[in-house]
Amino acid sequence: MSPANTTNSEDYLRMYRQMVRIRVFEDHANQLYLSAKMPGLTHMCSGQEAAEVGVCEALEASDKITSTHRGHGHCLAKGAEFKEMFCELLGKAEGYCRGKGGSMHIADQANGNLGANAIVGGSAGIATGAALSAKRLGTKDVTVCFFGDGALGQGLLYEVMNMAALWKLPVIYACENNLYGEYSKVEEMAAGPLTARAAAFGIETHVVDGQDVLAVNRLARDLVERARNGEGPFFIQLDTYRYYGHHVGDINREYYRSKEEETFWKTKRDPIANFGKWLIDEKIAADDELKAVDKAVRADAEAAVAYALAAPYPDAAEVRLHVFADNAA
Amino acid sequence: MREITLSKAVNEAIAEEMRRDPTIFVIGEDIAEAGTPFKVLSGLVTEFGTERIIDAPISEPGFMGIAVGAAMTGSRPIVDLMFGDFLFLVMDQLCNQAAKTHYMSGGKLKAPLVLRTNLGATRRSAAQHSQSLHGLLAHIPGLKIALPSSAYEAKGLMKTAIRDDNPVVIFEDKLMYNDKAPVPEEEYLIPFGVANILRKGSDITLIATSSMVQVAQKAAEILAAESGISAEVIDPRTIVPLDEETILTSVRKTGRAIVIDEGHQSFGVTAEIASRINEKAFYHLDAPVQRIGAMDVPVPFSPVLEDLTVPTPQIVVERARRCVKGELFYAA
Amino acid sequence: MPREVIMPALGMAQTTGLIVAWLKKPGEAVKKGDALMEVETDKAVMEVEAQADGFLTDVRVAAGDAAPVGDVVALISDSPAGSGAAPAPRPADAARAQSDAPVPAAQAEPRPTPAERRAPKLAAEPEADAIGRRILASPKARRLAAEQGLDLSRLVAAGAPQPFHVSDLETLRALPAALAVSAPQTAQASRHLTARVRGDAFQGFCEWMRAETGASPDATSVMAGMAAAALRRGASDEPLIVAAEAFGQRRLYADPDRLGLGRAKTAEPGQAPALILRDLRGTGVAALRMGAEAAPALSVTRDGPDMLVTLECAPGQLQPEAAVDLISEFAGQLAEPLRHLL
Repeated sequence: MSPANTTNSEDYLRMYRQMVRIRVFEDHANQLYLSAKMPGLTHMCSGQEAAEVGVCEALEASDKITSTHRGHGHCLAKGAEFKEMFCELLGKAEGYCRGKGGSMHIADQANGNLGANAIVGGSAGIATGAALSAKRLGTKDVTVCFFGDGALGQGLLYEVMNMAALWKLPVIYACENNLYGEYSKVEEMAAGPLTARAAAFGIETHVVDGQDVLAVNRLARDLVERARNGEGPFFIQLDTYRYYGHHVGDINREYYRSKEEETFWKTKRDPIANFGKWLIDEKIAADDELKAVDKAVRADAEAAVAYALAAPYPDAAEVRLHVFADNAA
Repeated sequence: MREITLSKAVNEAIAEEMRRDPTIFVIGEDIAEAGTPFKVLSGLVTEFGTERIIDAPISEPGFMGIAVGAAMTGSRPIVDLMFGDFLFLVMDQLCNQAAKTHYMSGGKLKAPLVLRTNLGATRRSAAQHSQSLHGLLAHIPGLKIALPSSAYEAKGLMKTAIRDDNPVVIFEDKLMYNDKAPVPEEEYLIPFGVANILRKGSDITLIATSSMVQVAQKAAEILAAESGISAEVIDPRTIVPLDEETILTSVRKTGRAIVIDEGHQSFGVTAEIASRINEKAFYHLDAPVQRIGAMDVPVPFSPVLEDLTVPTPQIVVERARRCVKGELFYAA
Repeated sequence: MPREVIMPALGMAQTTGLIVAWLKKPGEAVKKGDALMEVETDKAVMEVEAQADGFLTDVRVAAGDAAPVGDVVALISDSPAGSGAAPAPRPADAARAQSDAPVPAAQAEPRPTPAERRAPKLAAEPEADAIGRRILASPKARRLAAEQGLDLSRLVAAGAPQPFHVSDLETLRALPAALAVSAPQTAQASRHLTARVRGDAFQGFCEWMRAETGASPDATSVMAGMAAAALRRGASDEPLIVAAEAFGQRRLYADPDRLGLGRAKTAEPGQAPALILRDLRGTGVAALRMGAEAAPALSVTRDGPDMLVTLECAPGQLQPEAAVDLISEFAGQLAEPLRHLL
């Protein structure tokens, strides 16, 4: 996460590295599922790295985000570590949620991640409430509410955008439009322009190419700063694409998405490859430097997966823990 | 001791806590200038301003969700839900998010909030404004449920709820807002999970919640005066957590029990308490545990019909008499 | 380094996958993303892609066979030769895979029908009867009754209406003392029957036998034979041991009624007699009441010119009619011995 307002080589390389981390993480998560080592299902965000890293790089650790069922990217981009994330996906005690949340509820409280959410649009209220807290308590925190184009079907979103606009809350509604809600095309599910919805409440809206990490980051820095100064809320539509299916088991997807389309996005519009090319062209990094990053990240991931596979499960006694928080006094 | 209405008691509790803790705010519909349709929160906006007494649009899921997020990030919101029937609108944010946040995060996040709403029929408000849905929520792990039965209980339980780091739902009986009771001037809190024995007895135990406590008390008086039956009356005050021990000790003494609650007869609070008595005091029972709840019908509008659907002292008296005489026998 | 090709989990309830077809041949080059094989799940046939570049080798599961999810079905190796290890499918896996076709895990062996599950219970005891015999009482009444040694069945016998409550225990306690005691009682009254026989007939019979056979039959054994006959009454051929006591001696006879009166065989010692015969004519005993013993006891005493026959037994040893039959028959034989020979 970038502390200063200037972007320099260090920041660029960190952005690159963060995107690679997400891509590698998702690859390993997919493998864990396919080899029947991971319980339950997971939803991968490969292809959407730039949208997520671009936004999160504009945030401090204390700024808040809420996430979706497709939440590994948000979690990593906001500062989470491989080891605790893999542990959580496998239900191990050292996971971020002690194995009790899993992929769809992963939360990293120390880094301001208020949690992935299994209910589509379910975290919009939480994000808006976090912004209300920030404003009321004067913490200057900004909250980003990540959601997909599918969540635009949920009434809750409109209710909270209305209130955020009424009360000028420091929240940014970030819609990752990956063109599909589950197995349906966005134009079949959402009537009218996506931004028009927020605009109806008088909220300032922006559309950005979600595959261009620099464009996303530039926009995000600007809006985050303004939100911190009380000019929020904002709505951004990030046009992006998810490489995998809706969830790991959604393998046979030709009936709703053509292979040609997928190939196009993977080859011509890949955010990591394109950013890498840009870094090399601008002479900010050399090709072997980037390859070294790839290799190092992969090694990290392998080690973390091995660790997580061997790590212990929570003790049986933990099943009844944490239903209620203990009161201080 | 001074006597104040239940409405005033709630108002005092919230005001005192808000003075003590600046992170507390109230959010709901028509709560500021209007002080809610029941006027319970009147005057709070004058003292605390619209920053802390927040009027929301008619967006129950929305402001419930906002309260959850605020609670997770350092605030202590009180959500005012105008009618208990509107719980169905906030269920996802209350039951899927607030109730489960602490657990799903492995203990790292919490949602200290109070949802203040009501229950109770016979107000001629018909089916969608008369439900008593506390049993529904008690079924969800992660929520605490308080049922004040008088002004005294209302103030003490509300303070405890506000200071609790968990989501607490308090149900006030909307018919009781003008009922007065002795309430101390000095500060006091009523702990959760501690039942109150209002009346000691030896022949039968009457366990009642919310306004049914008054129903049970009246029934006990009639039983003593007309039938020489000595009834013990217990108010659990909170159903989650539930003070089992007090109830069981009483039933072991009397050997007979009737549970009275304004939720529907079937699949509710009475069934849960009766079941626990069955499990843990079986060998002390001289009669099957009885349940008296509201009739299993949507609340009708016509007063003549509505009044048939709720437990009354007479219904309790009849059942208790037959219970003591050993007349309740449902042959196989 | 070879990459494992794993049978993927393609559906939520899926535990095995059937390989419909291999789309690459062993040794063939593959690129990451190439379609490698077609797998059938409960839902549909899906293409599974190669996850790495290399050569397909060590194919362990053939087309048409199934493998459990998570199992290694082949390798993608650096060279067409692969690991060189024999790619024989493990027999256990193959067998398991064959029988375990791609059906959802939920469909196991057929569960026993409700009728089958209830059957053993029905065979043991008809439910309706068990319910009919149950005493209905509150848990508290039961517990107090047990603690105080009170028998609720006495209340049933007294006609008190069920279900019983604690207040009914007062009624129970007030019942007549004898009845209020818990059943079953251990002390049982024994049966005691007597018959009078004119004395001469038996004496005369013994003398006649002496005259006829030239031998001197043991009177007691004759009597034992008659007693055995009276007990048996042609009913069974089971060995009947009679313990005969006379003059301070006890002899065991086996079927003394079978070999002709007076020629009774002694039985093996230690056998339990079915009947005890006491010939007390030589004693001064006239009447006796000794109570039940291990077997029914017939005693013969003198009372002036007559004989008195006394039969004593426990109620469980002989039903009333049987007891009456036994003593009548025996007394009858003693009264008219010759008649019974015919």
